[in-house]
Amino acid sequence: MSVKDKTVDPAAQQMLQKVQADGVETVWDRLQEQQPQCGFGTLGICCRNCLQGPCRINPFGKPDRGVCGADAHTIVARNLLRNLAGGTAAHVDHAYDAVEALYAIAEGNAGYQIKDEGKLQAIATRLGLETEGRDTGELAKAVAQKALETFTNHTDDTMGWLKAWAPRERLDTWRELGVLPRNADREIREAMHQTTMGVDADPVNLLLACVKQGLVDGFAGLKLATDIQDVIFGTPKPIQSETNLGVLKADHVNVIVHGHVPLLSEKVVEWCNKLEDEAREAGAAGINVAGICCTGNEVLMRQGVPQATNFLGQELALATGAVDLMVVDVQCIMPSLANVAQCYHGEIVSTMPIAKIPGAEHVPFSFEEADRQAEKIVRKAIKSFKKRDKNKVQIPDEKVSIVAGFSMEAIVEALSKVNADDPLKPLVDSIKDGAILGAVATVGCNNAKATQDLNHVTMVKELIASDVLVVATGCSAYALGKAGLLHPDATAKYAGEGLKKVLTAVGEAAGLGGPLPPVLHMGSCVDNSRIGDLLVALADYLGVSVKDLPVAASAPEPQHEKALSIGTWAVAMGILTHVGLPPAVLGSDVVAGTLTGEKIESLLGGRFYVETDPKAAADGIIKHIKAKRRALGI
Amino acid sequence: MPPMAYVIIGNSAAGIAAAERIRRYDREKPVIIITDEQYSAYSRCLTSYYLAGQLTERDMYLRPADFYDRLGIDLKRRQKVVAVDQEKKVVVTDKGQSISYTKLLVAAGASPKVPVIPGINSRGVYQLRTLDDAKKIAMDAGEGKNAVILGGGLVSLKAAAALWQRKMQVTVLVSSNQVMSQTLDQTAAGFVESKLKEMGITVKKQTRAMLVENRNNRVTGVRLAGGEFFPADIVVVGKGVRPNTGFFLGTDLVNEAGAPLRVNRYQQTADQDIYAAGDVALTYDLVQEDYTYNAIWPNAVEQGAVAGENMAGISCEYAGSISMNSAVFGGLSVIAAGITRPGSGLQVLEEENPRAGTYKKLVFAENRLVGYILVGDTARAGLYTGLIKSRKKLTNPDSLLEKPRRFLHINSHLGTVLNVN
Amino acid sequence: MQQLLIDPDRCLGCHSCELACAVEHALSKDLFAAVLNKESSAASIFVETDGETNLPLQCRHCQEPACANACMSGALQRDAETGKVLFNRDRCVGCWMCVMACPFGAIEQDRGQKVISKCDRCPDREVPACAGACPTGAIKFVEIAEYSSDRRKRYLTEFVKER
Repeated sequence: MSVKDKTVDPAAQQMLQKVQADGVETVWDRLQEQQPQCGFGTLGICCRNCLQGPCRINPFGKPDRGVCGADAHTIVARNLLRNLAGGTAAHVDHAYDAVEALYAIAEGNAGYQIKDEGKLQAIATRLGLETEGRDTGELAKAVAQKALETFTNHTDDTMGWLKAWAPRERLDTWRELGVLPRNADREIREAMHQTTMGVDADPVNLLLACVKQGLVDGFAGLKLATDIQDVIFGTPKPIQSETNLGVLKADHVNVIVHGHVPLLSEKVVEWCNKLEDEAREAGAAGINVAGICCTGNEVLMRQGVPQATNFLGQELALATGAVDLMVVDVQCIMPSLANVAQCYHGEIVSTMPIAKIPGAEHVPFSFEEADRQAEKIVRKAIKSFKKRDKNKVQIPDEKVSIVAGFSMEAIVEALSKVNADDPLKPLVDSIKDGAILGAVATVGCNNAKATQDLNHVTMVKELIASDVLVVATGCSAYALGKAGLLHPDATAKYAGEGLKKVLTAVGEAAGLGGPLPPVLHMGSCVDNSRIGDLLVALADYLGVSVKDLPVAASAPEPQHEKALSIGTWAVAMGILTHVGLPPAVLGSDVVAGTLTGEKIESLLGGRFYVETDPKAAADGIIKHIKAKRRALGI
Repeated sequence: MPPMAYVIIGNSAAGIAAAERIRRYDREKPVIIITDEQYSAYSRCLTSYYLAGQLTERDMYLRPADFYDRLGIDLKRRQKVVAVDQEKKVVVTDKGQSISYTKLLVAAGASPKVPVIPGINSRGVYQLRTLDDAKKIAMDAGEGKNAVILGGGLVSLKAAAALWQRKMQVTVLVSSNQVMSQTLDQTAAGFVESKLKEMGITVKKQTRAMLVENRNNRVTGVRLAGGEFFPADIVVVGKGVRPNTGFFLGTDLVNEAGAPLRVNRYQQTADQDIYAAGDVALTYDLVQEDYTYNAIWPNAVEQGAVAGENMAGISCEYAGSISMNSAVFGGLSVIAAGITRPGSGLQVLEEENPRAGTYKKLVFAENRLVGYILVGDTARAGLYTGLIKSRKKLTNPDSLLEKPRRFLHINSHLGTVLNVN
Repeated sequence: MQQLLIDPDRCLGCHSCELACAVEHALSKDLFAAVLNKESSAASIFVETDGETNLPLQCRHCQEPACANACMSGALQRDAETGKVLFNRDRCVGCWMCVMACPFGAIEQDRGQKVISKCDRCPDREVPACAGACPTGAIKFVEIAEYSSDRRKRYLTEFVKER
């Protein structure tokens, strides 16, 4: 595989040459070594759920059943449900951490404050809580209580967070299908039970359980995590920053925050500022923090912390030789980081009790001691800086200016500068008159099987040229940022005429002195809930259902189980959801056909759409958007 | 002395295999094949398929059209060998030609035995051995007509099935109390008989044909000893074969009419320049542990190859033959090899499943597999054949009743598995 | 001459070779397309086990092929140049003589089509699909000379277990 086949990111290309010269193994080498990858696994027809196995189904004949008698359809559907439960569990656990933090704050036991009281009020109101006469702490506690019930209640009642925020039409649809989740923990547990040996064999019933997982992820994972994080750390507003490995500074102590949960990284950023003097004493010009993956997105959105690189670049960041310390929390952290770090001087510090890495130092995180731990970690970084071998340092020049911070609230605020009384009107009018054809959310990961960032960038350039407004989160936002698409200049360069006109009008009205960027960075992968909120608001405004909107979602380079559960949530919301790499379901025509077929679309309004060619995917999405427009009569 | 020449009498399995093998080592010296037929080498085993209308003449040929030219073989067609002068090392044909040999291979095959029954020479009475036989029967065959098959052996049943495929009314008259009595035991034969019956072929057992009735010398039917009469437009006689060794009669190689040529492990007869292979040869049978007449295709090919190699001056021993046959009737597959009707002193493992339509019989001599029958499910039969040939003693013969695993006797063949001879 | 060599000690029984073989012999030669379009195909390599050792086994393309010797229709013939035992499907009449003869059980019956199927050693590929798919190197396609006599001996001595 040539460097160009591995990534389109020029900084990554440069670092790939360096690691090759340094003899350091990366994710692409390991992918190569894994070839050929198992066809049974690829098709999802391998079952390891009991000790009579492992069993695999021959797609061309016998054996067509596992030892227990499960056929390909059962096995594929069970495996998918377990994948979804995994992805859902990750987001719900993330949200749980945030809620615990909120509770600790309310109890006065955490080193955090509530930054967005307005949002806390709004959430409490929506949850039907009494807000009058309650102080912030009391209200926070009440909200946290409600949130905890969403994870674990002991009734058959529908999950609170879903009930409070899901549109009525969706609730009815889900109720009819019998997929309304009761509480997150119970549904995840049930999915594990349902898929264990000798329980559910009906692929359709299993797929309905998949939809349920999607809803748990969407409301008890994404939505709940974003809401609480906004309350604690503030709701993002447009903010300027930079992206790509060029943000690392040769003369600074470089600290990278990597993972997904912002609880510790917020503190690390704070302590990097506090300990600047110590860094200078150690011979550095200061302390520079940069982010990787969604922890990076969280601190970018709220504090403008620059972004180092996305998922596939994490090892390459260390290869600059300029990263003194990388602090990681959970999800998408390659265990190989410890090995790469050994080849350079950087230290890896793990912080979460469920995410330890051999070869990394573990500094356990707690709400109560967050400050002390952050301080300790930053001091380690300064110490590590002193060990840095300047001869080994090679920082690519690439860094690109970006604008981020487009929370739902921020978008509405920008629009309100055009029409203060009716902020959504300008956007809706632009969609109606065709200046904006529709909207697409590109989300999700990098995947070493696809050239890094290529699908994201190729597809989005096609979309915005066709006047489709793109919003992005997660590693997709990184990819688009590195390609310059999160900058207002890209509007003139890449956006179609209609889209350009609207973005310029809103941008100028909002006092940005130019257009909005053609791709709006809405945050981390849990912040996909912001996209959900926006779509619900738009649908409400138009008096239609989300499923009727001329919109689509896409994970052009999905890698993580979370991408599958987010995608399922999107489909459950009624959205056409493109994936650029097929999940392991092709071994069952029943499962694959159902997920991508008319049946699921007729029931939910959304379906999955698998297309590996990004240009063809853009065409397919545009076709879908046009069909939705026709159906709306616009 | 005439120049060195390889002469092969017979242009079928053994003859062709020998010629090819000679040419592997000797591209120079003349190779002459003599055949009394007009055709290039074709497969006699396919004649029933031709008769059934399943194959055309073109499909019968074993080798491409340029085969003889490419290998530099002089094929003498339509010449019947009438005598071999061992002194002068000359083969004499019915066309009066004398062909000198330095090494001679007799691969002249065998001819059908014709029973002595009044009327057996009537028009419409055939054997099925050659392509010409098949052509003649095919000319006479026709939908709705009656065919009587005399004999219940493999060739007879293949002929019966072929004529049945031509939508004829077919009756098989068998003298013993089962079909394929040389190949199968009664149980296996029962499966075949049921299948034939299911197809609509009548099988009469323990019959003796007394008279082939005719009108104007044209067959009208077959009368049994008991008086029963079976009308017939065609009679096919399949009562076994005898080796074509007539031209040696009276020499010390053949002392009675129709006797085979006994050969040593090099396929050599008592005359060191004369080799024999295929249906004329009497070879050592691995499981009978005696010289046995096993006139089957695979043996002919192997013996021809061994003879050819030795004729070319490369010493090569024949491992020995076993009898083995595979037949398919209306989708029912039957494979049998080695000893299938054991006498005393042999052990038998059997498994019959009438519902599944399968039967398996394994015959052992002192824990060595010496024979088997598979009916219905014949998958991987060769594992058993290989086990017979390996002569390996088994510690757990019972396990062979299970579906044979490809591991079965890998160990004994390991060298070949790994291509490291 | 390149040969498919098997190292049974390395075979983990994953059946990847079987899947790759079936895919290579499907119309599209592509896993996803073959499965999505329901192309019919079958493997000609078989992973077998005696409980202790796994053995991926395909046609050995024997020097003295018992199958070709038994083939009465001329459908199976050994190609002297490549050493492959070639199968011509059009000539096969489904008599199963080769099935009776092959000592490895490497020939499969397609009873519906009344023809056999066996390894063709992937004429369209440089390295046969089974060897290419083997994650552990239990199936290797190598010049026969590359396998040292030591190695051959090891197979012959250590693998053989009398039962």
